[in-house]
Amino acid sequence: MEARRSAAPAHVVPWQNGRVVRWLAATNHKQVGILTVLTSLVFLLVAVAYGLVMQAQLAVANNTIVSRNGFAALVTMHGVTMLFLVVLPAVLGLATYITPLLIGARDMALPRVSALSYWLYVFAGVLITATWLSTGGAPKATFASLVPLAQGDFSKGQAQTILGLALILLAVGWLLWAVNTLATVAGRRAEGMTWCRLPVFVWSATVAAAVLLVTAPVLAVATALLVLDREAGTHILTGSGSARTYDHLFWFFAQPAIGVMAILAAGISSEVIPVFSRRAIAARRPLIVAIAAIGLFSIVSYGRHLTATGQSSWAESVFMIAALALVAVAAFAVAVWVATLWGSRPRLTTALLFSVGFIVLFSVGVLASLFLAAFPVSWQLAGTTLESAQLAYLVQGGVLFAVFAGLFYWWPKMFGRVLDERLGKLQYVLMFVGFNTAFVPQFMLGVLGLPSGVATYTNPDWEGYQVSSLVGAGIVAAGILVFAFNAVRTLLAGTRVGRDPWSGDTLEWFAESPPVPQNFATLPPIESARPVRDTRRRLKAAGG
Amino acid sequence: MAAVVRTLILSTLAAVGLALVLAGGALAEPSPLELSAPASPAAHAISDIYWVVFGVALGLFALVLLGLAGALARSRRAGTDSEPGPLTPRTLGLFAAIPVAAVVVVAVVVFARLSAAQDAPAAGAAGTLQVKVEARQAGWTYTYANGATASDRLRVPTGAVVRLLLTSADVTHSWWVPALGGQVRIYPGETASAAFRADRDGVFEGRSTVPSGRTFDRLTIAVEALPQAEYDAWLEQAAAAKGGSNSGG
Repeated sequence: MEARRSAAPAHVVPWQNGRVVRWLAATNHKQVGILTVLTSLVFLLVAVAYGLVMQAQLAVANNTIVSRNGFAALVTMHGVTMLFLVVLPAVLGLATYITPLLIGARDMALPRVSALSYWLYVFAGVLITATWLSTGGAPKATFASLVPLAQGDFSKGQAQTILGLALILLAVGWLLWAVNTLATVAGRRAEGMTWCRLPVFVWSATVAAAVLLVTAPVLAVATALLVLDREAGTHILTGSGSARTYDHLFWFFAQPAIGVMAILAAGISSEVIPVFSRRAIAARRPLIVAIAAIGLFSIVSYGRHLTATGQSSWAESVFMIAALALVAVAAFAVAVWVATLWGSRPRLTTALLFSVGFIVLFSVGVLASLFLAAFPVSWQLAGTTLESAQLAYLVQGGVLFAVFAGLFYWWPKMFGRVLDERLGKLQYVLMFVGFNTAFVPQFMLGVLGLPSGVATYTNPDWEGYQVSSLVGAGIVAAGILVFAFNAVRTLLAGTRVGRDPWSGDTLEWFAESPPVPQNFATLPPIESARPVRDTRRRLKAAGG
Repeated sequence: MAAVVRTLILSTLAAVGLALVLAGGALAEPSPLELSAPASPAAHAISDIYWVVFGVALGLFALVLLGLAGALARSRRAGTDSEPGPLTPRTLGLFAAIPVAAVVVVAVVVFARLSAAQDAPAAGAAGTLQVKVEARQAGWTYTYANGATASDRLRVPTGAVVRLLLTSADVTHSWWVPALGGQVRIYPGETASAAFRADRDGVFEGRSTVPSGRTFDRLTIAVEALPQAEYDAWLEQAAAAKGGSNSGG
């Protein structure tokens, strides 16, 4: 390569071949996936900063370091950023990166659509973050854009409209991701990669895509109605019953969206845990069925967010039963992961540690949802910090830990270099300890009667809990900075690895690290769900 | 091996951490593990359900932690190259049966205690006191049948069935006084209803749980349950004051 460069010094490089432009114009699933994940990590730093400022305001009773308006804006921006600009894009980006590699495909079925999804996300993320600069500042009607609080009479300025437009862009991006993923899994599997041999993660991505296909358009429509009301005076969501209607539409999207994050996190863990336990997943098909059931029940149970809205006991009961079924299938999945570790010889890499952390935090999030599913108890605890802590254990705890497990696992495939394990373990300990220190007290404050989203409180007894949360959030932030340092250091000078540093089971470990643009020059025969392991054993048998 | 030992230490730390959290929660005053002291039949029933859910959740979580600790401890003994086989149908059945049984317990308890948790006597039942409640971003207004109004606190006679007709003048709010029962969402343009019976005298605090803008943290509620005679005296005086101010204005 050096020789070629010096041989033609005057040659004009086509503009598409510039080092930066090659990434900006990328349609290849690997580049788009990496860009999506890295962008989500940038927004993670933003979201953590919001969280730290909020928690600093809450550390002391009657505190005034943040104004009431400012606090309402922080609550909204933290929720929107964490859910829609960090965790959901992170899992979708990982899926975009790894799905074609797992099924032996060259790329996603619709590469330009991959790029469009990504740029819609970037544009929406910039728009949302830029609302701080708009007249009146960032939106203040919570991440759910509560109607009528988000309407013109109560939320003046442009921020709420900008947020609405950005959410529509995001929803379109997620819908495109869903179509692209379904088309890829249905049409781009390598020869021999039957549905029965698909890795559990690919099943997760398929279920997640099916759920988003149904629910993302509902977010787009609900938000469009709000934007029309605000900007065109259509009065669609005014009048009796419309706030209730909007709540139903929003949660019909949001509850399954949390399900999508959990499903993809479950998929990541179902790849990481077996490889580092040196065995097959303990119950493949039942686990896949459980993941599909999580998708179904996360849609049906959406109405458990609408307890105490005067709906009939019959409706409350149906939503409760769906929410309880969701808990049962999620608990079953947890049991399968634990059983996979049971009796194996786990290699305690950072990736596996984050998966174990995922199991613990995800379990807490799932089990805490029992308090909100059992609807009479939810009449007491919905809307309190117990509910926000439950969501945090699922999303910022569970899913984000699975994302880090996936990053430590697939980083060598993405960049050909392995992340530093010592720094990784330090990050894990910081994040696990910090997370629990931050959010256990919020469970308790909810039971004591503190609603989430209040700018301040008068009861000095609550300061101890809030200070603990502040300290914990600081420790989590330190852990994330350790990761940032580790990532940069590894990209510059990490240890290079070959195709298969972990003795993996699935096809991505047959590709180069990083893979060539078309992923595979050749493919091994695919005769089971673990083709690379089969090949390794065959070679060993032939060699020995 | 050292890694396994480290993990065992960490999982022991996790168990100790959980025990400390629970013990600290049990000792703190008021306890952050229990719902505020119930002062109505409905709140009592909800508290009963809460404890069952608490037990079920804690039991399942303990199983997860035990399973993880066991898995990481057992791995030390394994030394062969052979892989453990897939789970037997019997184990799978157990994995399905335990969570299903746990959530069935929750559902059964909810249905068994539901009518008590609602404690909603029919509208117009004998002895029912009806109060209109208007929620605003800035506060609450209580209007009694005789025209008396109050905005500082809702005064009710202890032991009487109180039915609230709740409306909102601006955005969505909720009515929540934990000691007296569950919350009710108040959508603008609709009339929500709530009923409760305070079974002891006292001032019970609550608040809206639905973010309502910059004054959300100040949207607190106080309900004062008084002996009937004191309540009657207050009501008469409040109505007179209202009448006086009306004629004066």
